[in-house]
Formats: sequence, C-alpha cells, structure tokens
Amino acid sequence: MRIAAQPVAASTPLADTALLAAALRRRTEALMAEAARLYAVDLSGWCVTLDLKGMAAGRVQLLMRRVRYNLAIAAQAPELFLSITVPHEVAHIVCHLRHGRRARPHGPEWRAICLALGGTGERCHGFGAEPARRLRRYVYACGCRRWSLTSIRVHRIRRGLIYHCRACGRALRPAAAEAAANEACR
Amino acid sequence: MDIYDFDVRTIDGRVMSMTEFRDHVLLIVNVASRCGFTPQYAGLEALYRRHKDRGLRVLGFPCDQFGHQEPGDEAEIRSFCSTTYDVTFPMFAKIEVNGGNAHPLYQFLRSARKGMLGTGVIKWNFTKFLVGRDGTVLQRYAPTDMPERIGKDVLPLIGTA
Repeated sequence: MRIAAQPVAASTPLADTALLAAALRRRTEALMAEAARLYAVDLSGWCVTLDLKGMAAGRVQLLMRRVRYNLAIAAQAPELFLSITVPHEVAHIVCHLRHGRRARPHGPEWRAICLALGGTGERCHGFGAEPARRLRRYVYACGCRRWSLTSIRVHRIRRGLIYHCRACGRALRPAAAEAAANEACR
Repeated sequence: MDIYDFDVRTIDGRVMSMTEFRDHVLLIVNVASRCGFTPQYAGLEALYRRHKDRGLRVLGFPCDQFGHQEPGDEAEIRSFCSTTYDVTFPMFAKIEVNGGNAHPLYQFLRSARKGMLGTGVIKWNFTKFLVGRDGTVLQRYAPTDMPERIGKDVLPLIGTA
C-alpha cells in the first residue's frame, strides 16, 4: 500500500523546521524507549541527524548508531512522517538487534516489529520526493541480455572490478564491445 | 604563550577567554556546513555527549576558507547545526584559520602541530586538534580522521583508560 501525501497547512506549528527537528527527535526517543521495553533491547547511544537527501525518507546506519531522516520529505507532511517513517526506522534497529543479519531488511520479522510500534509495515513511503542526483546510465551486455548500469558501477568497472551475469556467468562489457566480440567469433 | 592566552567569540557574539576551558580536554575543529565531511558533526556530537561529564569539550570554529563551504552567517550556521545534527557542543563565530587574518588561536595551534607536510597550514575543513588538560597540543588529525577513531585517544586523557 502506498500512502498518499497530505500536505500540512503552513500555519501548522510543525511546519517550522526547528520544531519539526525537535519533534522528530522526541518521537524517535519515545519510540526507542517503548521498543526497548517491548523487546528488551539496549537502544542507548543512538543519535538522530536530519541530513538525508534524495528519495529515501529515512535510513539507519547500524555501525554508526545513527538514524537519518530526510527533512525535505518530513516537511511535506510532518504528522504522517512522524507516524510512518519514525517507527519504520526504529523497527530496523530493533530487528537487527533481535534477529541480526538473518532477517531481510523489510522481511516478516521487521514488519511485525514495525506494526507493533504503530507503523504501517510498508517498505516505501508515498511522499513526493526528488532524487538527490540523476546518474548517467550506460548500456552493458553479457551473453544473454543487456544491462543498464549507472555511472557508479561503470566507474568501478573502469577501475578493474568485474560484474558477472548470474544467468550466463559472463562478464558484463560495454554493449558496443560485446557486439564487436560476437562479430569476431563468427 | 599558551592556549589559555586567547579570547574567542561564541556563535552568539559573546567574547570569552580560553581560560574557561582550563583543566578540560579539548578537541578543536574548524567546521563547515556544506562539506563532504559535514556528517562528522554527528560523530563529534556523540563523542562530546559521551565524555562531557568527564571534562571533554569539543569546540567548533566555522570557517569559509575551504571551497566556500561555510557561506552563511552565524545565525544560519547555528540553526543548521542544531536542526540537522542536534549540536550542543560549544560553537564559535566564523573565523579564518589560514593566512594573515588567521585567528591567533589557530596561529598557535598550527605552529604547535604542523601537520604532515610540516607547513602548519590547515588543509581543509574538519582538521582537529586534541589538547590535554594542561593546555598541551597533543595531536593533530586530518579531516579524514573520523571522530570515532579520535575517541580512542581521548579516553586516556579523561581518565577512563
């Protein structure tokens, strides 16, 4: 289920950035306290930053013990963000502490925790968001299909990394080079 | 001359003497809001909160000398820090850290710990200086040195090693 964004009137106190930031931190702390009680996990020492950009509403960095929120998305619909995204992210932390890496990021274990914390148990938000950057894409090919790779992966390939197709096992090469190699084999 | 001989201006305009930090362990950082290292604010704040009761003070000095990455005024910087990273450690007014107009505190720090190339020049935002309780400049860290790593050097100084 995707959740429709409901813009909040500018007069809403939460529309104020500083108030919104404080509300996000308070809500996260409150949910962490609740989660610590419900699941008997230690959630001390976590910090909340509001520096996330792009399409994601929130993100958890487990090693850094840090929850990051996207302030631009939060400002669109503060109340929805507080009730959907905050439990979503806190559930990731609890899920990791309870189940470790065995649990998939949005698998049934995470979903149960998210629902118990008052979230929707959905993977994606329905807030409007613009990507932080648009990556250029390049066409690569293996033996069986063509691939659209972002410039990030192409740069890795140019530095020496090799990506293999899981189906045919062949290395991915620029589509033009692949076509020329096929021609030479004939 | 020692580190306590200097006056600094806080981000809300109050002039204070560095003597107020006497007997504290100091981590002095030149900061910027639009830098690739800006997320280090989170680690610096975490370090400060963990050890402030045992005498650690992180001091943030905004500086616009590297890539024009701190263009805002003090009010904007303060708002950014508290909103985005919930910064509670002491922040100071914007200063220059290199050149003829460099703040005397930074002239002192640079000459005390000259860095890898031996020139003393601050290379980029989020260069850090660790100062002991007696005012000795103990260590200089590159912008790439994460606060989490610096925490290991702080522990013996605050007496929890």
